[in-house]
Amino acid sequence: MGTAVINIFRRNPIIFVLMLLGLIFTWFSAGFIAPGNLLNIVRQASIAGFVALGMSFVILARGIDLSVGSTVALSSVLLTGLSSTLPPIVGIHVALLAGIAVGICNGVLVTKFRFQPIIVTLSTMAIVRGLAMAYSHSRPIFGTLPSVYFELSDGMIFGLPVPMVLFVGASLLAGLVLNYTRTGRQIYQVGGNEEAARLSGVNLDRIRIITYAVSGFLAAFAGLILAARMQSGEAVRTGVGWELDAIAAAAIGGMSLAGGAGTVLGTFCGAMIIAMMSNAFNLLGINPYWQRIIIGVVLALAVATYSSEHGKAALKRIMRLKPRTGNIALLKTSSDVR
Amino acid sequence: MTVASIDRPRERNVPKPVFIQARGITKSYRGVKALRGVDLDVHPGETLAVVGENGAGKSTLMKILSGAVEPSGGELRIDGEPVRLSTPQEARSRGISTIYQELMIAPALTVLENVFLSDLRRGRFGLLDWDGMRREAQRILARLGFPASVDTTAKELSVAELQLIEIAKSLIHRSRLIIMDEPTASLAKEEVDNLFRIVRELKSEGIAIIFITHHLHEIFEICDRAVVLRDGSYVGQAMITSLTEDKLVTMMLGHAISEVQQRSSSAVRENEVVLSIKDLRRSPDLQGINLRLRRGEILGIAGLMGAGRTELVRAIFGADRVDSGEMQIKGKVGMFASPRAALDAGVGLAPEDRKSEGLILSLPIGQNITLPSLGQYAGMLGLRLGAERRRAGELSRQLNVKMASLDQLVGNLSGGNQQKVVLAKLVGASADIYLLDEPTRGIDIGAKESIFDLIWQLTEKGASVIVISSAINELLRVCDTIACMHLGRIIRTFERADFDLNAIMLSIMGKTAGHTPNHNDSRLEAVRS
Repeated sequence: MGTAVINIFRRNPIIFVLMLLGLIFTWFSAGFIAPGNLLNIVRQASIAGFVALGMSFVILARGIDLSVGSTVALSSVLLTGLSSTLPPIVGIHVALLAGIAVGICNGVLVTKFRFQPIIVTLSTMAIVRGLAMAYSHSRPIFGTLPSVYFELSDGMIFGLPVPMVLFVGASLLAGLVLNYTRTGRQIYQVGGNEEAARLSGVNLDRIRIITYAVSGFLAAFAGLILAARMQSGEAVRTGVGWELDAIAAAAIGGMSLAGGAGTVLGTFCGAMIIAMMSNAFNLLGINPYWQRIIIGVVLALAVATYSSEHGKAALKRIMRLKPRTGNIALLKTSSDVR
Repeated sequence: MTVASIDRPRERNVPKPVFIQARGITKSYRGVKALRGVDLDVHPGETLAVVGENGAGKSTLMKILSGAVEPSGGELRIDGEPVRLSTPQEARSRGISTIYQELMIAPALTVLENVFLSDLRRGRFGLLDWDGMRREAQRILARLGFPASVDTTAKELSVAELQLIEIAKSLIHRSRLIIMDEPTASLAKEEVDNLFRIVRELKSEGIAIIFITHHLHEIFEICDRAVVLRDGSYVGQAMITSLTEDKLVTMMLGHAISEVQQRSSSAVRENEVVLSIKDLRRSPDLQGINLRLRRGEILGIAGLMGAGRTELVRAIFGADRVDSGEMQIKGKVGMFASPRAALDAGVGLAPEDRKSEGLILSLPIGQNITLPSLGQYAGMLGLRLGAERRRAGELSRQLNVKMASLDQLVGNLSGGNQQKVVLAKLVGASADIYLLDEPTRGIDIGAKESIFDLIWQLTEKGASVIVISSAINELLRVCDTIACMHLGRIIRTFERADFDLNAIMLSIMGKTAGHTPNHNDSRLEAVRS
């Protein structure tokens, strides 16, 4: 048990960064640690976190999904629009199915037609945004949801915000799927070495399509919670730029965009760090432009640390989880082998 | 600007000094010796064949001459002066250029841009002198018989035409030695003739050529002298006029065959054919393959690079689609639709390149071993990790994988141990027909022996094995039967009783008794189109 915990920390050095940032922000801003503020951070992190979680599946199989922000918007207007005449449960199902459908489209275009993921999802990003705007006539949709629906965002379970409970649940489930099911392991295999996986009997197309479908589904789910938080649906500004935040969360969490390496816990922490930084900068009164710049710098630093040999060795030394000597040599040989 | 190398006055009758003198060149890669003290002289205006089996050290030696790798020891002199060639640029400035089999052409650029790719000329104001470069390129290409305009985009050209661009590049650099690595491998007959015409012309200008080819008759047609390497050592050299094909083959192989321990018994069950293939075709690599594999048999496939060996086992495994042909495997008719289908039917492939196709280097050993058999551990509530780990442990012990733990990344293992992990995958997937593509390439003697032992054990238990190897001595040792492939066909099959090294060597080079190879056959046409 003890070694298992150490292994978790060793695989996810980002946990320490999360803790360190929490301490720093607490030191600088008294309001940061207030329960109300922490809940706010968590609620914010959770909604974007669903998108980052879905993105992790795609990235692990060496893909990328730029259409998620648009899917969030489509989901929010489908739910609110349909709820004007039908019970919300219908809208929920239609929105989630639409998200899955977008994902399957992405997956089929990437696998069966062999188009590049970045181009495919850039196209669907525009198409889905357009569909959402056409459906809502680019106008916000208010007042169609019953107030009980807002509990999805504002309610509490066991004293915790509902979105957080859902997000933690979804993350645990994703972690179980990735590590303890055949499909999950095959996602790592496809991302790790596509040709070796194929020659070992993995159905590449199936795995890729599943990852895009998961991403579409979770983006639509985020749209449902966002609609509860905003108490409305809106197609023009909703979810704009969320794909970049999701990729950033995964990358800060240690996920390799080359595929095959990374953990759900890492992405979870990455999403928390991004939400925490935005929140703390607001409390400290830092200009929003500077906030974007700082987040960009953090992302670049994270990637630089993960991808350089010395960065990796330094991370381990700092944490004192491995003896100092031998690390660099070990890492070097492993990269030479490639 | 003139091209000195072409315009240099003829000096045929004057005795020529040595251009390049290599003495005692050695090269080790991570302790493995690729070259053990090789001598080589290159004289101006001579066409020199460097010959040897795959792995004899030809490529390493050529890489050293072209500055791509540095030797571990030995001395290199150019015009009598000791030199170090640590980069390709340095070699080029000393007058050595290399035309690799994989041509260094930028497909999106024009012929003109490619010719001057690494040597753009500046004119006035520091701007590029395109007019000057165009005139020079046109003049040189015309001499080489290049048919198209210098403004053609490279991707529209044939392999032969791209090769002319490479030669033009060497002339622009005023090379005194042009190394050609298998230049005829994908040329048709008339293109080869044009290449030879150019080689003779360059030679008369005093330019030396090192010519590497697997086609013996080309050596006799175009070369003046042959230098033979074997296992990284210098075996000898001879003028072509004093050689015969048989003599040359004997020099290449040595006489080690009598010392090798042969396979003592055979597990072949005569009447049980587990795999039979009729007229399998996949353009351009497979030109009608007929094959039969019996239960317990070890069938070796010998052939040169490009003979279609890898393509054959990949086609059997369902990794690549085929154009036509019949396959019958354990009583069932038809090709496999995917590698999954092959694995489910008990057919396993150990691919040629274990690092890029056989293993996932970013995953631990244990997860690599169970890769193809993961379904065996799938339960109602996800994978049974305990059972998976136990089985991975068993398999790694059975195959004697030397490792610290199953959680170690497979990328950190040595080549031999990585190959054992690849084989453990197949054993774990309960394969009984094994397709092993170069299973012993690049691994040490000890690991080789344990892989041979494993192959024998498997066949004693009733499995059948097809093994591809470029080391014919190994095939002679391990196999019951050896099939020789040449240009997409199996042109001769030897049973153990008739094993004959020289006959096998001649067969894989396309020479069978009473049969002259036709180098203008359909495969080459297909390559061009």
